[in-house]
Amino acid sequence: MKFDTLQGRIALLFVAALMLLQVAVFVTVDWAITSIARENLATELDTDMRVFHRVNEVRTQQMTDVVRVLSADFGFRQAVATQDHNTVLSALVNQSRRVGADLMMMMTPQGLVFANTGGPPGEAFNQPDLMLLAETRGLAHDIVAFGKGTYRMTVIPVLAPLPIAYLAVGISVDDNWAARLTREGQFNISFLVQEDQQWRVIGSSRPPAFAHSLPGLLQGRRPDATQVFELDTIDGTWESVFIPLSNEQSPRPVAALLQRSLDENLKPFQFSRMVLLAVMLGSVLLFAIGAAILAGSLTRPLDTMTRVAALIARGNYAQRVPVTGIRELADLARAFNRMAASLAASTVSRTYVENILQSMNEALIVTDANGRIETANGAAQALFGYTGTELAGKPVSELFAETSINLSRQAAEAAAGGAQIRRVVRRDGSIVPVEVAQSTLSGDADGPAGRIFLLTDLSRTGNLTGHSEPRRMARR
Amino acid sequence: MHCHSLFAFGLRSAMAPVAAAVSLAVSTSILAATLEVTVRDAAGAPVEDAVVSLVRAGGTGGTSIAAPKPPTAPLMDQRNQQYVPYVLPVRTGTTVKFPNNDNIQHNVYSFSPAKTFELKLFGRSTTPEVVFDKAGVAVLGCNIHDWMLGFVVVLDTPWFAKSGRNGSVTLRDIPAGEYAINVWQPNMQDDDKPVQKVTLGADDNGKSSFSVKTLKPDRRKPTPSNPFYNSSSGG
Repeated sequence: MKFDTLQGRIALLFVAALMLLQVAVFVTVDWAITSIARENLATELDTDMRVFHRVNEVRTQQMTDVVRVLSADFGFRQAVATQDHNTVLSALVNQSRRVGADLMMMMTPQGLVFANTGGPPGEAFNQPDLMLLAETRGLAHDIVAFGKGTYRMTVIPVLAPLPIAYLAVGISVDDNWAARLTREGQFNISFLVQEDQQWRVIGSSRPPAFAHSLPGLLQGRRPDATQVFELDTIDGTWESVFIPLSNEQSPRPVAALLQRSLDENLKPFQFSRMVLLAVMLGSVLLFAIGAAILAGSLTRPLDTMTRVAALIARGNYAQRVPVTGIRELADLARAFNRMAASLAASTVSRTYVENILQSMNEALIVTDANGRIETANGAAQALFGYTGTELAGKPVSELFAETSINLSRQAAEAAAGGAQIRRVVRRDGSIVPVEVAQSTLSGDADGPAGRIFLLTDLSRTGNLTGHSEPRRMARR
Repeated sequence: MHCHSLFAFGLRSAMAPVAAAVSLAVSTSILAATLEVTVRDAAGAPVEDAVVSLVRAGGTGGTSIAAPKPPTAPLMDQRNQQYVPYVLPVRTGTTVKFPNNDNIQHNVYSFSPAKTFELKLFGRSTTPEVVFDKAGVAVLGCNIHDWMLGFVVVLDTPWFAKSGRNGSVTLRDIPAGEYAINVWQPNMQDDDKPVQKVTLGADDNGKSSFSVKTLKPDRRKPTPSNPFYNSSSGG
C-alpha cells in the first residue's frame, strides 16, 4: 500500500491514531505499575529498617547481657584484679564462643588492651570516648574500627566497685553479618564506611562485583535514613535506603545500605505487561487491515471516476460512473455524470474541427504573432506544394511574390473589410494569383496571438479580377 | 612491658595523694605545732571526706615516730546498705573492724593492691577484722550489693585527719620540721596532685585553706528503694 494515496493515508492516519492511543495507554499502565512497585518497596524498606534495628537490638542485648554477667562475676573480677592474663583471656574466649561474638577484649582503665580474643595484648584501645561513656552510663555502643576490622562494639566497665577494667564485645561488620541479617530479614544489605568523602564497602550480602560498584554509585550521597532512593546497578535497579550506624560526630561514618530489587518486584507484572503488549500489537494489526478495507471502499468510486474522466478527456463523452456507495460518494457520482452529459452536449470535438479544416477548398494559414506559420490546411499545402511540416515555422511573407505586401496588424485590419488580389510563390517557383482575406487571431492583453489568411486560388477559378465574397472562419 | 604493669585499677588518684602547699600563720605553743587546713573546691565550697596528711620531708613520715595506737579499733560499719564512714583514714598496721548493722548479710571485698581481701557473707552476729598493713587506698565493695562503696585510706604517717562538712581538719602535736601536706578525696581529678612543702616551728599554730580542682561526680549510688531491701539499722 502506497502512503501517497488517499487510501494509504486514511489507513495510516487511523493506525497511527490507534498506536498513539495504545502507546499512551501502555506508558500510563507501565508508569502506574512501576509507581506502585516503588511505593511497595518503600514500605517494605521501612519494615526492613525496623527489622534491622530489632535484630540489631536483640543481638546487642545478647552481647550486653554476656558482658554484664561476666563483668559482675566475682571470680572474673578477682582474676582481673590479680592481673591473671591467661585466666582473663580464657574467660573471654569462653564467653565469646557462648554468644558468638567476633571479638572480646578487656582494657585497663588507662586504655590498654590487657586481653584480646582476636590478637595480642598491649595495643592501645583507640576509643577512649567509648570507655568514658561506658563509665558514665554503665554501657556504651558504637561502630568502631579496631585492628583490621570494623565492629559493632559494646563496652562496659568492670566495677570493684570502681572501674578496674573495661570489657568490650564486638560483632564484626562484614560479609558474614550481612549474610546473617539477610537470612533473618529477607533484604539485601551492605555496610559502608566513609573515609575522605569516599564510601568503601566493608561487608555485603550481594556478590563482590555488585558490592564493588556501590561506592561509585553512592558518590557524594549522605547517609540519610529518611530518603529512599533508586540505584541503577550492574544488577538492575534497586530501591535503597541508608541506616547510619555510627554516632553522628564520628569522623569515619559507618552506614548500612538496605536494598530491594525493583526488577524482582516487577516480575509478577511482566507477564501481564507482555499480554497487554501482544493484545495491543494484535489490535493494531487488525485495525490496519480494517482501515485498509474501509479506505478501499471509500476510494474505489474515486478511482472509477478518475478512469472515466480520462476517457471523457479523450472524447468519449458517453462514459458514466455508477452511482453507488455512501451518500456523499453517490452525490459526487451523480454530479460527475451530469458534468459528463453537459460536456457531451456542448463540446465540439477536435476531429470535427479538423475535418472542417481539411475539407475546405480555400487555403487556410494561421501564423503566430511573428508571422511564422503554425497551421496550414490541406488546400494550403496543395496551393504551395509544401507539406504541413515544411510550412510549419516558415515566415508567411516568403509565400507572397510582392515583397511590399503589408502584413502588419493595421493592414490586416484595413483589409478585414474585403479580400485582396495577390500573387504567391509556389515551391516550384511558379506564381499563382490568389485572393487573400486576412483576420486577426485573438490573443491576450499583450496583443493578438497571430493572423489568419484565407487564400483562394484564382488560377483555378479563372477569375483573376472577380471578387469572391470574403469568407471568414468561424473562430471558436 | 609486662601486662601487670599496665594496671592501676582505677585508683590513680588514690595511689597518688595530692599534696598542696599551705600558707601558714603559725603561733607558738609549749608542746608542738598545730595546723588547721580547710579544703575547698574550685567553686569555693568546702570539701567533705578529704583526707589531709602530713609527710615529713625526706622520709616516709611518721614511721620513725612512735605514735600511740588508737585506743579502739576503727570501724567500717555497714548501715542501710552503705559503708559508714564513706572514707576511713587509718595508719599503716591498723586493724579495722567491719560490723554489719543491717538485717541482711554483706560480702565485703577489696581488690586494691593496698589490701586485697574478702569477707564472706556475714551478718550482725559477727564483726570481722582486717589489718591494713600497706599504705594506699583500699576500695571497698560488696559482692551482692553493687552500689556499696567505701574507702579505707592507709597512711604511713601519724598526722592525718578527715574533713567534715565544713571541709576543715586540725592536725595536732606536730614536731617542728619540714613537711609535705597531702590531700586525698575520692572524687578528685586524676591529675590533681600538686605537692608543696611547709616548715613548721615548735609550737606553731596556724590555719590554711586548700583548693582542689572541680570534683568528679560522687560515685556512690543510692540504695534501692525496694522495701524488701530496706533494712533498719541495728545501731
